Order: sequence, then C-alpha cells, then structure tokens
Amino acid sequence: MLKIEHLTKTYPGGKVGVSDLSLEVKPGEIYGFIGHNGAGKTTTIKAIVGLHKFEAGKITIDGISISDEPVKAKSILAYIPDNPELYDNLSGMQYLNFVADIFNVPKHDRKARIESYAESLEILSALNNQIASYSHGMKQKLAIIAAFLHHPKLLVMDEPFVGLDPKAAFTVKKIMRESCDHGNAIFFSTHVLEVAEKLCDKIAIIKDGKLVASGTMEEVKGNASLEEVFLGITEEAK
Amino acid sequence: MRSLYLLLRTEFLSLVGSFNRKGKTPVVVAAILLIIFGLFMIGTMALTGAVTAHELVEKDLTEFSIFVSITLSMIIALMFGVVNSTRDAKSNDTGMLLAMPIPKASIVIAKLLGMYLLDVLCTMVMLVPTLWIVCEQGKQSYDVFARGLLIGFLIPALPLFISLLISGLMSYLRKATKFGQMASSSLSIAAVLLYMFVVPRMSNLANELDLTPAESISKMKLIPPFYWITEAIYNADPLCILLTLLITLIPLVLAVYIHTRGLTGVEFHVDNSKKARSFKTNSSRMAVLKMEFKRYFSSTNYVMNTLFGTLAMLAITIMIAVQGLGSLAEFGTVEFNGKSVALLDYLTGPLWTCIWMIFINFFGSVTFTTPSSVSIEGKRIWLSKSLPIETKDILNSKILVSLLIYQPLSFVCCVILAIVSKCGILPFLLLVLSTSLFQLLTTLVGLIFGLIYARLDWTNEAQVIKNGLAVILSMVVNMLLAFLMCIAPFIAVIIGKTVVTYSILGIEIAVMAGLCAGAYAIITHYGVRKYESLNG
Repeated sequence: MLKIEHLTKTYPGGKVGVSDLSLEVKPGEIYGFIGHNGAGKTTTIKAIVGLHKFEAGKITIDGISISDEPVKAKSILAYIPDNPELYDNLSGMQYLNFVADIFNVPKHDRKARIESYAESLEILSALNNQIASYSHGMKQKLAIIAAFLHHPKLLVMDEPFVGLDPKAAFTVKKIMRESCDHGNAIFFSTHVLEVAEKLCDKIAIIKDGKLVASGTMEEVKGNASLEEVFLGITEEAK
Repeated sequence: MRSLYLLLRTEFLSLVGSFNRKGKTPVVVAAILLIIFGLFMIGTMALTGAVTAHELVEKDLTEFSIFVSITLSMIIALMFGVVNSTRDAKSNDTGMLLAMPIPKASIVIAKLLGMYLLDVLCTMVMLVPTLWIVCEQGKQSYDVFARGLLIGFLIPALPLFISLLISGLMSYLRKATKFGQMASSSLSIAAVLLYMFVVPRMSNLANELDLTPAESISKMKLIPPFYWITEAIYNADPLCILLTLLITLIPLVLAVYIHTRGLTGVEFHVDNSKKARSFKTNSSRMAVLKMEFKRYFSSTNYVMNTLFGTLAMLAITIMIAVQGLGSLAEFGTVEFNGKSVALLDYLTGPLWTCIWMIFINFFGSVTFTTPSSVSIEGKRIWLSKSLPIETKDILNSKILVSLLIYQPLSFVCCVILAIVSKCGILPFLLLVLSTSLFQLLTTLVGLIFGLIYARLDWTNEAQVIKNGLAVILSMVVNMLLAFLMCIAPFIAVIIGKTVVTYSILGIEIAVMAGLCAGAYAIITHYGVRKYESLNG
C-alpha cells in the first residue's frame, strides 16, 4: 500500500531530514514509526502525504507516485498532523462537510459516517460549534473523523494519541484496527512505545534521518521489551 | 520597565528574524520602495499642512491654522484607528506572555506601541510644519512650538482609544453572540461609513479660508476637544491645558484597560448543540471556493482591510450620484487669463471614461485580498496541501474571491458614474473593461507577491493582513500601475481629439490584457511550484 524507496530529504540550509530511507507497508498492516525528537519522523510523514518535496527516492501509494500524480495519490490517503491546526472560524460540521466534498463522499454516506464516528468519539453535540471553541483533544478528534470520513486506503498519522482522553484513545485504536481489517493500511508515528508495542503489526525505528531497524514486532524486539530495544538501538547508533 | 524593554526587544528580534529568512535582496528592495512611499506620503502631508498653514496665517487666522492641522491629522489617525479596530487583542503568544512574571500593562504597551507611534508620526508630520510657520510668520513665539510638540505626543491617545473601544466591542460581539462574526463585520463597515460621513464635514470645517478671526473661533468651538487642544497650544490657557490632559490621558488609560480586558477577558462559547446538522454537498472546486469565501468573511480584520477601498469608492460614487456633477466643480475649475474655467463643461464621452477609470482604479489599487491570501493560511496550510485538490484550483479560488468581492461593486459604480456623466455606451464599455482588467491585474500581481513573500509563522493575523511585505509591495506596485494608467489619458486630454483618446484607451486595455495573461501564466507555473513548496 505504501512503498518508500531510498527517500532522501535535505532542507534548504543543508540539514539532512531523512537519508536513504526505504520501507513498505502492506494492506491490512498497522505500521509504527518511532524515533527520538528530531529524528526525521515528521519529515518522512510530510513527504509521504505530499507536504514536503524531496530530492531523491520514490514514494508510491497503492502504486501511485505522490510526486508524479499527487492529486490521485492524495485521494486515497488521509493525514492527521501532530498538531491539528484547523479552520478556527468554521464549525466542526462545516469542516467535515468541506473534507467530504473534496473526497466526493455522498450525502447519505457522510451523514452515517460523521454521526457514527462523532458519537463514538463523543463529539457529536459539539459539531455545530466553532472549532475555535474546541480543546486540543476535540480538534484531534475532529481531524480523526475527517481522516476516516472517506475510508482511506492509507492513513498517515503523526502522533495521533497526543491530547486524546483514554476512552477516545481506545476508540481510535479500535477504529484503526477495524479499518485495517478491511484491507486498508495505517502508518503512524509515536513516542509512546507501549502503544506501538500493543497496536502495531510492524515497526520501524529512525535515528538521525536513517532507518536503524524495521520489521515485525518479533523481528525487531525478540524477547526484550520495545523500550529496551529502542534505547539500545538509538544508543548504538550514536 | 525592564520587562517592557525585553518585550520590545523580542518583538524587534522577531521582526528582524522574519526578514532574514526571506533573503536579503527582496528585503532591501522592499525597504527602498517602502522608504520612497513613506517619504512621498510624509512629504505630501507635510506640504499640505504647510501650505494650508501659510494661507491661513497670511489671512490672520494663525490659531485656526493649528486647529486645521490638528483636525487633518486626527482624520488620518482616526482612519488608522477604524482600520486597526479589527485587530484582536489576543495573539498566539498572549498565553505564554501572560503566564510569565510580566506586568499586564507591559504586554499591552508593547503591543500598542506600534499603533501609537504611527499615529504620533501622522500628527507630527502635519503639526510640526504648521507650528513652524505659525512661529515664524505668525505669533513669533517659540513657546507655541514647544507646547505643540509636547501635546502632539498626547493627541494620538484619542484615536487609539476610539479604535480600542470599537475593537473591544467587536471582540465581545464575535465571541458572545450567535452571529458574532457577521455583527462585528457589520460594525466595522458601519464604523467606516460613519468615518466617511464625518470626514467631509471635518474637512469642510477645516478648509474655510474666508473667515474672520472671530468667526474662526466660533467654528473651532464646534469641535470642543480640538478647540481645547488648539487653545492649550496657542494661548497656554490653563483650563484648556487641563482639559487637553483629561481628554488625552484618561482615554489613554482606558485604552490600556480595554486592551488588558481583551487579553484576559472571559472566553464566550456559543452552544449550538441543538442546531440541526447540515450535510449539504458541493463539488470539490466549489467546496474550495466556498472555503476561501468563508475564510475571508470570518476574519473581520481581513474584510476591513481589504474592503475599505471598495466601500470608499461606493460611498463617493453614491455621493456624486446624489449631489450631481456639480459636487466636482471645485476640483474641475481652473483660473485661465483671470477667468474661472469649468473643465466639466469641456468633458466628452471618452474623457469621462478616463476620469472615472482613474477614480475607480485608485480605489482598486488599495483593494485586494490576494497578497495576504496565502499567508493567511498560516499553519493550516497542511489542510489544503494534503487534500486531493489541484494547486491551480486553490490559487484560482483565491483569485476568484478577490474578483467576486470587488467586481460587482466596481461595475455598479461604473454604471452609476456613466449615467451621471451621460458618457455614452462605448465609453461606458471601455470603462468597465479597463477597470475590470486593472482589478484582475492587481489581483494577479498581489497573488504573485503573496506567494513570493508568504509568511506562515504569524502569531496574529494582522501581521500578514496589514503589515505583510506582500501587502505593502502590492500596494506600491498597484499605485504605480494606477499612476501609469493616468499618463495616457492626460496625453489624450492635451491632444483633445476623441479618436486619439479612444486609441489610447484601446492600447491601455490591450497592454493590460497582455500583462494579465503574463501574470496568470506566472501563477500557473511558478506560483503552483512555489505554493507546493510552502510549509507551515
């Protein structure tokens, strides 16, 4: 579903964001992407969803290159940023309708999906309120509903659980798993190793822009805890 | 004081830092253009003040000249005040600053200082030449000059207070009422219209040159606050000095208080949970355009700063329609061989086109939404960039918003002016075509600047709507374009042949059409690449 081949991204000024990174996410997989602050997680994610241009490498989503056919590629993916800055002056409902219009979600489908997701994330009654009045967690929930609204084949999430209450975090994990059970794929970054350990089918560890480990959970951590492996790998890479 | 110094230093460093990120060449070019523009404005204002003062002093209306100077500077300061009133007290850094051990007054003063200094500059530019002429040619007393300088620093407190009063009221309306955005935008427009209603009366009062000294005193007393200030400067009347201090210092304290309340006031949240949810569908292109419109009209600041010129154009057009062409007689009368010649009597169809074109294009040159339309996306740019939307469609929607806001009103003005001047069908069509193309060109140029100088890391939207490099450069270039378009009609007027005038208008229209095509090509190629490279 997602294939990254030899991705290299250097920022103007010379700082290397990501260097020669390759990985593949297959349909039905939840793929965790972990690394310390500034390791290159967000840079990689922004390159996947077309927010960052990159000078070398190739990214394809279901066989469609994000560089060559960005609109076509974006129409089958969804993205949730680490800090969901939304249109503050719109209501939640107006924002969801906007996203549904962009992805051509039919009226009856959008009604059913919005109400279902909003109810399970306990935000339904706030949808007509202005986004400016939302807390960080509510904005995060709204961004998550918007992302799932068109049933994307690939969902890319940057720190999706930050700001969510425990119940909402549980619901989101459930929705993520259900989505993958339908053949979709999820690629997400996190700092919370316990979440990665429990939720992910595969993980990749990134350090200073380079992939230092990847594979199934068993392949990467063996019998140790993910925390021990992560700390060991990132220390070794120094 | 130390915290105030630190805040001002940080604001300055932040400003310098934002310039450094853009590269030095464009900043130097922009700075030179800004200095030229600023000097031109300052020179014009100072010259107006000096000439008026000279004429009044010669007619023994020395005190009245100070009154006129104060009135004119207050008109300009009030205009800034009305426009500034759309600025929200809070910016993104407010929470962080309030959590620090900094007195609230320091935060407020640091935020208000820019507005205050601009008003001081306006006041001084008008007042200093007047005071100099009064002292040199009139009263021969430099006490007046010294008092004028001191009081000149207090005068801006009045427009500042008015601006913050409206701002506070709008902020309350936005947050506490159901239709807050609409109400605050309406209030802004009402403030502009009120300003336009008040200004001609103040200007008329200030420009009467045939008064006797006694009559001038009674005229001055019609606006008591300005009379007190004048008396305080001119005669050092103790009561007037006291009243001047009261009417400037009290509003200054109130202004700081209102702004402080705006920073820390209660947040209102309107509950719409019982409202029925709408699931109306649109095509993706229409959704993008609607979003662009919503974003525009949801920001009172954005609306006010971009609609000001259009409203002024409409108001003056309606005034011309109501009062007839006679209202323009004083502008169109020249002295020739000792006789007054009314130019209006000599104007024919195509010359009316030229005059109305200059009039509409002048307002068009300060009415644009595109220069700040990219920067206004700020950190939310990830939304449009991560969705399956063609970048060209996003940029087209920004162009369309600007045109759909301005063009209908511009067309209405063209119709009214053509009817009033009875210019005929062909001149009317040329007028519509030339003004539409001019607006299209300024919209496209604005978008190009908006893309080149996009700033997405703003903490308060006023930084990109009012003070952005793209906005300032667009204004300078648009005014230059409007000025260049005036040259050809002037040549036509001098030659005086209808066919020449039509030819020149035709050439101008053709050149503008070519420039529009070129500018659009730049947007669809360079602009698209530039937008795609932006990161919030």
